[in-house]
Amino acid sequence: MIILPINDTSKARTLLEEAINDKFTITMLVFGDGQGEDQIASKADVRANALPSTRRVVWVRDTSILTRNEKTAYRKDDNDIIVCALDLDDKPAVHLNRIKAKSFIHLEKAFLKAQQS
Amino acid sequence: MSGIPQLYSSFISLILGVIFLSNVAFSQDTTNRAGAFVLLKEIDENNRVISLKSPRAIYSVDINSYVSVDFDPVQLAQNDDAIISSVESKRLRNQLKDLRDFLQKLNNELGSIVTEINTVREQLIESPTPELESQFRNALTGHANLLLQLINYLEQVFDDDTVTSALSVGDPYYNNLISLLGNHITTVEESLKQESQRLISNDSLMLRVWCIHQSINTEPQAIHLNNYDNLKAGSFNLVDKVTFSRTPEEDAHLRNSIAFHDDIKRLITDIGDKESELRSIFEDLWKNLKTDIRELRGLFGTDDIKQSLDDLSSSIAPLEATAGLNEVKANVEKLQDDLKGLFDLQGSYDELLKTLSEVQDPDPLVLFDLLQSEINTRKQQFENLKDKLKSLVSGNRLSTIQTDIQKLRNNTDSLEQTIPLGIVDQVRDFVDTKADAWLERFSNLDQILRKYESLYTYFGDFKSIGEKLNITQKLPEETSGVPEELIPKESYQVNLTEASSTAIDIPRTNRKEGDVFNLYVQVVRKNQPIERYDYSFRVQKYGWYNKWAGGLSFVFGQWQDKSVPATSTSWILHNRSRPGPDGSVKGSGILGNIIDLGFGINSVIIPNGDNVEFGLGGTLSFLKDIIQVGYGFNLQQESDRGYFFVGASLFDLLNKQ
Repeated sequence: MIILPINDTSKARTLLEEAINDKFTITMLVFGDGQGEDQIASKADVRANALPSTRRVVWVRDTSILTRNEKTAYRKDDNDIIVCALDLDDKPAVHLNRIKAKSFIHLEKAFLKAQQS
Repeated sequence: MSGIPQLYSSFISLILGVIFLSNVAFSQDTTNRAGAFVLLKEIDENNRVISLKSPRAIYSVDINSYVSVDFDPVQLAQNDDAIISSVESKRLRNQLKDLRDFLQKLNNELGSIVTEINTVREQLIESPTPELESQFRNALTGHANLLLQLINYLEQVFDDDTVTSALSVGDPYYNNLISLLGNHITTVEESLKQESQRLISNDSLMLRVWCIHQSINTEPQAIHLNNYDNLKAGSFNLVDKVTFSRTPEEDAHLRNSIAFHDDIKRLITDIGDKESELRSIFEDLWKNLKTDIRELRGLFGTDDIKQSLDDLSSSIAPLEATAGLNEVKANVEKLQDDLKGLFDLQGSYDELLKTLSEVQDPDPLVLFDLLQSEINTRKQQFENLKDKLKSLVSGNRLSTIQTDIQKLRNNTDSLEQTIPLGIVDQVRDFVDTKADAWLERFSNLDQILRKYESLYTYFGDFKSIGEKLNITQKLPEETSGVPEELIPKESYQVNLTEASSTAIDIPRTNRKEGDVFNLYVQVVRKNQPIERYDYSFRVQKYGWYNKWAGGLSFVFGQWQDKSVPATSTSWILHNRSRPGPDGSVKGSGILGNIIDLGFGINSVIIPNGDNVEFGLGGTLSFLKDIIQVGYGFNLQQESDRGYFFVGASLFDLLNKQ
C-alpha cells in the first residue's frame, strides 16, 4: 500500500501520478483520514494481497491534493465516496461509499470488476 | 511343395489371429453398473482384501477366493439412472453435479491463471507488445469472472459474515472461499442422502440376489448365496495350484487333447499323399480335356463350322421362294446356338490354366478352395454341354435339316451343286460315331469330380475337425443372455432397507480355471423387476500354478533329415500376477499374465518309419501354452539323440482356455 504524505504536496502528487499511470496495475484509491479510513485502507490492502503483482492500494489521506477533475472522476464530487477502483486504462471502474467500503466483499468485488473493465 | 511347414505356419497364423480377436473382444466394457449400490470385494485364501471398485466387463478373481457382496440402497436414489427419485432428489443431484463441476474448474484453473497473470506482467514490463498486453487483460478478466461467480454464489448460500471472514485473508488461491464451496457441497450431499433414505423407506422395494456358476461342458448352475436363498452350500475345498495329480476334469481334458492332436498328426501325414494324388488326378483330367476340346474344335472349329454354315446359309438364300426353305434356315440357326457352349468351355479352360500357373506353390487349403470353385463352375458347363450334345443327337434337328434339304434336292436338280450338304453329313457322322464316346467321357469326368469332391470333403474335415470332436464350445458368457427362468426357485426377496451382506463362496463350488460366476442383483417393486445389475467373475489361478497340456509338436531330430509331427504331453509351471485395480498388468506381470510364459517338462511320441519312439525334454510355453518350444532327447536312439521341437495346442486354442 502506498500512503501519500500529508505535509509534502509535491511528493504526494508525484506518487499519486506514478501509481495511476502504472499501465499494468489495478489501483484502488482510498480517500480521507480520521473517520475510519485507515481500517478501510488496511482491508483494501488485504484484498490487494490476493493478487499482489497486479493489485495496489493508494491511501490519499489529504484529498486536497486532488485536482478538480480528479475529484469529479474519482469521488463524483461526493465526500461519501471513500474508495475508487481504477481499471488498467486508469478509468474509474467502481466507486464505494463509506458503508460499502468497510466490507471485504465489496472491496474484493471492486478489484474484480476493475479487472473485468 | 511341402504341405507340412505350410500347414504349420497356418496354425500359427490362426493362433495369433484368434488371440488378437480374443483380446479385442474382451477390451469392451459392456456391463451395466450401479455405481456404489453394490459393493464388491475379493477376499483371498490369505484373508487379503482386494477392492473390486473399478467397473469391469468381467472381474478376475482367484480360484480360492470368495467375493464379498454388500449393498448401499441409498445409492439407488443417488444414481443418475435412478430408479427411485423425486423432484427434490433430482434437483439436489443436478445441483451437486453443477457444484462439483464448478469446484473442479476452480481447482483446475485458478492457480494457472494467477501464474499466467504474474508471468505475463513481468514480460510486459520488460518488453511490452500488444499481444502480451491482450493476453494479460484476458487473464485478468478470466480471473475476475471465475471469482465473481464464486463470491456471488457463496453470498446466496452463506451469510455475509461467513463470506467476509473467508475474505479476511489475502490468499492468492482463495482457499478459504473454495473451502466454503466444499462445505456447501457436503451439505447438499447430506440433504440428498436424507432425501434418498426417505425415498427408500417410503417405497416398498425388495431385493433378489442370485448367482449362476458357468463352466465349459456343464450346464449353468445356481450356487448358494447366504441370506438370499435356500440352496445348499457345498463343502469347503481349496484347490492345489501346484501338483502332479490331476482332477477328473483335467484328466479328461488332457486325454481329449492328446487324442485330438493324434488325429491332427495323422491327418497331416495323410495330407502329403492325398495332395499328390489330387494333383495327379487334376493334371490327367485337364490334359485329357485339352485333347478332347481340341478334337471338338477340329470338328466344330470356329472358322470351319462358321464358314460352312455361312456357305449353307448364302446358298440357300436364292431359293427363298421355295417351300420348306425357311424351316431349314431356322433349324440351321438353332444349330449355331447349340454349338456356342463348346467355345465357352475352351475359354474357361484357358482361364484355369492361367490361374494355376500364377499359383506356383499354393497352401493346400487355398489350392483346394480354388479347385473346388473351379469344379463347381466346370460341372455346370459340362452339364450344359452334355444337354446340348444330347439334344443334338437325340433331337430331330439334324434329321429335320437333312430331310428338308432332301426335299429341296428333289425339287431342284441343281441344288446339290449349290448347297454344301456335306457339312450336315459331317455333323451327323460325328454325333453318330463319337457322341457316345463323348458322353462316356463326361460320365468319367463326373466320377473324377465326385472323387475330387470327396477329397475336398476330407480336407474340409480338417478345417472343421474341432466341430467333429465337439470341442468348440465357447467360454461361458459373462452376463448377457441369461434368461429369467435361471433365477433359482430357492431364491427369495428381502426388503431393500434390510438388505444384508452376502458372498460368492467360490471355494464351496466345484469350479475350475476359466469358470465364470455371474452375480445378478435385482430390485423388485410389487413383484415386478424394475432394475437388474449384473456382475461377472472369472476364476483364475494367481501366483504359482501348473497346467497339463497336450499338443502337436514338429520334431527336428538329429537322426532325421526332416521334421515329423508328434503328439506331446507337458507339465508346465506358470506364475500369474494379480492385475492392478484398473485391470492393467505392469512390469514382470506382463511375462506371466500377457505372454503367459511357462516352463516345464515335455514328452513326445515320435514316429520314426514304422516305429514309435519316446522323447523327453524341457519346454518353454507362451500364450496359455498354445505355443511351445523346447529341446529334448530321444530315449530310443543310441546316438544323435537330441531334438528341437516347436509345438502348438490347437485343442486349447479352440477351447480358449
